[in-house]
Amino acid sequence: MAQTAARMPADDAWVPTHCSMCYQSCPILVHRVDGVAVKIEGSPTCPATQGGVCPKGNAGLMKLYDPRRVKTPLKRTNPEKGVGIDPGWVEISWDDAVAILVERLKRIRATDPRQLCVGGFNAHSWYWGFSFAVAFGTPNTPGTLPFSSMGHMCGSGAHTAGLMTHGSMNTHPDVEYARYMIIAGGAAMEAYQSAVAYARLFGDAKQKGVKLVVVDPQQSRAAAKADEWVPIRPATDGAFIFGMMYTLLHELKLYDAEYLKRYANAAYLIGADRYPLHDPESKKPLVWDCVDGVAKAYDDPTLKDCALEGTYETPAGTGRPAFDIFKEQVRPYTPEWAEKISSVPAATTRRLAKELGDAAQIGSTITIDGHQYPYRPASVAGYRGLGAHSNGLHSCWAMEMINLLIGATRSVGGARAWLSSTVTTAPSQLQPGPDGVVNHAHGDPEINFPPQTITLMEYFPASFTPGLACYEAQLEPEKYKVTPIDTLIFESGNPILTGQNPSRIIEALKKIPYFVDVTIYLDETAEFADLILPDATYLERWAAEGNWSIEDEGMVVQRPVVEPLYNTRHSADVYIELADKLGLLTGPQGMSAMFDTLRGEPAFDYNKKYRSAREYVEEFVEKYGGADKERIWREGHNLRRIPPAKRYVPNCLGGYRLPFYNLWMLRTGDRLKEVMEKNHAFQQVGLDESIYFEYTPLPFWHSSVLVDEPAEFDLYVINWRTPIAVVGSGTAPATNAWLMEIAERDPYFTRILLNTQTAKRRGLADGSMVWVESPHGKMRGRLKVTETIHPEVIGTLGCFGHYTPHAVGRGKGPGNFNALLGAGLRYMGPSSLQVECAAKAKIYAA
Amino acid sequence: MRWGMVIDLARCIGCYGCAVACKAENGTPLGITFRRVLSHEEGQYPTVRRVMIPVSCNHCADAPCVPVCPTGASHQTDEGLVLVDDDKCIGCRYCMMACPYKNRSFLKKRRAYFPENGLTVLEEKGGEAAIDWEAKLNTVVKCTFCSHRLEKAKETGLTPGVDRAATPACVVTCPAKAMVFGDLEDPQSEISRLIVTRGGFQLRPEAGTSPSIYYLPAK
Repeated sequence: MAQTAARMPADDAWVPTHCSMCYQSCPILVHRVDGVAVKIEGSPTCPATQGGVCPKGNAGLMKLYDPRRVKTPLKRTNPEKGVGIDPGWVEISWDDAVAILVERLKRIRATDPRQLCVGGFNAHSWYWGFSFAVAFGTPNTPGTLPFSSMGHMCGSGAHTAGLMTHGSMNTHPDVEYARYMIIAGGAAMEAYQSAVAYARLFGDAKQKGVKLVVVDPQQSRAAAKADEWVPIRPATDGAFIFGMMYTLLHELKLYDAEYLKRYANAAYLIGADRYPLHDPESKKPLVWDCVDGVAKAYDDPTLKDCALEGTYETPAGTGRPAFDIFKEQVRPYTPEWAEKISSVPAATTRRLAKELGDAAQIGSTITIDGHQYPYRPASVAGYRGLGAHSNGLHSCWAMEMINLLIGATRSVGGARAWLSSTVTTAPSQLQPGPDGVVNHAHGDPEINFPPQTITLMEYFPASFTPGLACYEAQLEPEKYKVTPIDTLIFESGNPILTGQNPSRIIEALKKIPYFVDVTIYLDETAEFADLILPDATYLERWAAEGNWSIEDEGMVVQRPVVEPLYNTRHSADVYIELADKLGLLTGPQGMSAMFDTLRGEPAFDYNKKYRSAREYVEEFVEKYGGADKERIWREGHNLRRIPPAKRYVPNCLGGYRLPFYNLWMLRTGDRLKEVMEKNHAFQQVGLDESIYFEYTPLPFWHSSVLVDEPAEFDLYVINWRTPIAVVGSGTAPATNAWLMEIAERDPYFTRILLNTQTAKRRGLADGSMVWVESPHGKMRGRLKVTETIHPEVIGTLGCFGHYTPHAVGRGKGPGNFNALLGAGLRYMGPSSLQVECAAKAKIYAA
Repeated sequence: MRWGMVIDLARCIGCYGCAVACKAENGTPLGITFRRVLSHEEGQYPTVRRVMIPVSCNHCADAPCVPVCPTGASHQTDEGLVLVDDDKCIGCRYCMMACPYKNRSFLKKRRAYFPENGLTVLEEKGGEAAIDWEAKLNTVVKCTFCSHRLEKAKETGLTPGVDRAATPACVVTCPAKAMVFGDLEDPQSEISRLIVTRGGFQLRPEAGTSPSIYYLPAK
């Protein structure tokens, strides 16, 4: 009898929720036995993951039960801030912590609300701080990830290129229908967005004989599974893609003319002012009807065929099709030219261009669910390897252009959207813009002088999330004419380790009068805080969002598997209490009203006083769960496949055209110039006309800032993500005991990788200790000699270098890779501010 | 009936998902990993390929670890599982010497992940399998093919390899769907068919142990 009782725990439940070990939100089931979460499994009802979970997702329990979590609110007593200087933490109650904040925030709000910044990025919990900040009246909200390395270290160029071309933060191969895929610098299957789904989809594709080519300085997992690995110099993938476009346009004349005319604006006649010529009557952009020999509005029903090449006289002036301008612009980019830059042999570039163009099956169609779509089963995709460089925006844009050229963008089998959205239904936000063309998904950016935000985005509106630029602004507010931050509430992140070079970040953190860190750990960044608010993990909180998925649409919810451990609290509940105490919770401008971003329409009753995140989430599901309400609570989601009509051209375009000729870039650059000139801004701030550099309507090649580094640094050094390692957004495996144990058994992890021949030439032996030195910093580690890396490249996996006791990985691994990177705006994209995430370096025996 | 596993190296991405799921399922102490992932490089730059191979106890049909056990602790069940009875194991480690695959470990100490704090409540639970690790001190430990999940099948009528609750944790978690579990003696089972159609092979066949884990070629 007693034995039976022992075998039947009083509490035994599988709790449906979703993962937040990265910014994907895979639905999971968590087994709780007698109050302890013991196992995480994938939700078998999720169409994208089909019950799978990656190693990070499996390791979530070690985050929850990590005894090194910060357990109670802490207040600094030592006013001196610095690396290794004891902050003199004293434990305080939540009531005291809230009281301190209320007093401070009241004072700031009465003077200038912009002095508050709610920064960082708490994946799947960011919108609570966002709504609080908007209600407070500050433009410095988590919407642009201020002070965060998240986004800035990977997608400030890539996301812009995708959003301004087809409304998606990223461009992925449509694996299910693809026949040919080139991945240029993207960790597909391991840490690319939707890694779990891609692991399965690429496996299926491989078995169907789909050809995969991976262009990458190191042999990623995708490259290891690929039919062909093409090693390349870091930060030169754009040149390789331009080389392929040269071959397609000038040698093979292989491109999808029909698609470019019908679904893009490539035939628009461009005038001398670089804008489309407009029909004087209808004000619509003109194209040249080459059958009738006359200019007509682009959507004129009598239009027979329109010209892509030539120069034409029209009543609105002389015009030239955008395609013709681009073709001319690509003329210098021969494969031989690209070889000098990228090291990819010209013959390889030519062959791959032909394979790509042939595989696109230009002109073919496919019928899905009774509807016919263009079938272009070939694409080029890429992410951090392609884009996380100072030339990343135009490199990623080149990738978008080659997909447009072969008619692959949003075609079946071609280049797909990957959405990150809180909106629960949309496959991507295709926003109509002027001239019948799809606009940047976020519309036209606000540009003020002097700028209203600390992000510098009003000088750099082409950037996506330049979080690290905030440190520059805080260090030199007069130089940029910004209002410095008085109080930073920073959520979830450790930019001292994950951001571009810690030196500037450390100096700037010291210059923030009051720094509140909402955190799980007393990490390197927390060492600079004035107040520590111990956050709940994703397994202890309430949340609701749309899924960040390639495959599915619907809603995912988080609910606590266990109540918050120790004296921790979900930051959402703290914001709700703060808003209430500051009188900001209710009313049309209150925090409740500002949640509309969750849905794109009013989500909550702004007159009601919600007391907890739970109440918001329960009401959100009640209101928007519709017929799926029960399912959402039962399974933690109601995800379903995105229907083909929402995914593919032409239906997904809603009658608008894709910007082959990018009017958003042109318009944004011109508006920026206008504001700068009108205000004589350059006489007042420490910037110059180089900020206009990237605003062109068509992409062009420009080198990374790395080409100007001193010649003695003769190699490149890069890092990358793997399924157990993140960069930019976190520091796993070094902060997770299970992942760190696995990493230490992996022959590549915690090592410095160097090509066998390079090591031999330099007399460096496998297993020996080496220094890697860049113009900006050094790291020391154990050498792993490998055949799987470009001979000019030094590599490391993930992000190490922890020196505060919170991390299980402290003292392990090769030091902080990011300390090798150049600091400040010089090492960011001239207009995109994308951080240059590689460095030039030398390597020598330690 | 003989339980077996197929690991498709064409699908496996070497992500370690199985290795971490195994840790969670069994609550293995620091230093004990029933599932490992081996890797090596084939060829030379640039025509090199990195190959990753997940390995764990092969539950060999002719398991050399069983006859060398002086106490009968290492034994084979009617369904082909090779298990260690911790009540009988005296920790002599003959079985470890006999295993050609080095897939057994000796538990000298129950190492905590955060030694300064003792065991966390998670570690105390012994994973989903609720393993009593104190009882396994000074014994040899290894992959059980998640025998506790297979046992569940007998109580509930679930089918191992089909129903997730009755299938080894590594198979269930695999994002790439690279693993299949089933009955090797049933020619109609999915794993039997995969072995025939895809040219499944066993590791180190020269050892003559007839492993129950088959691999499908990467190419």
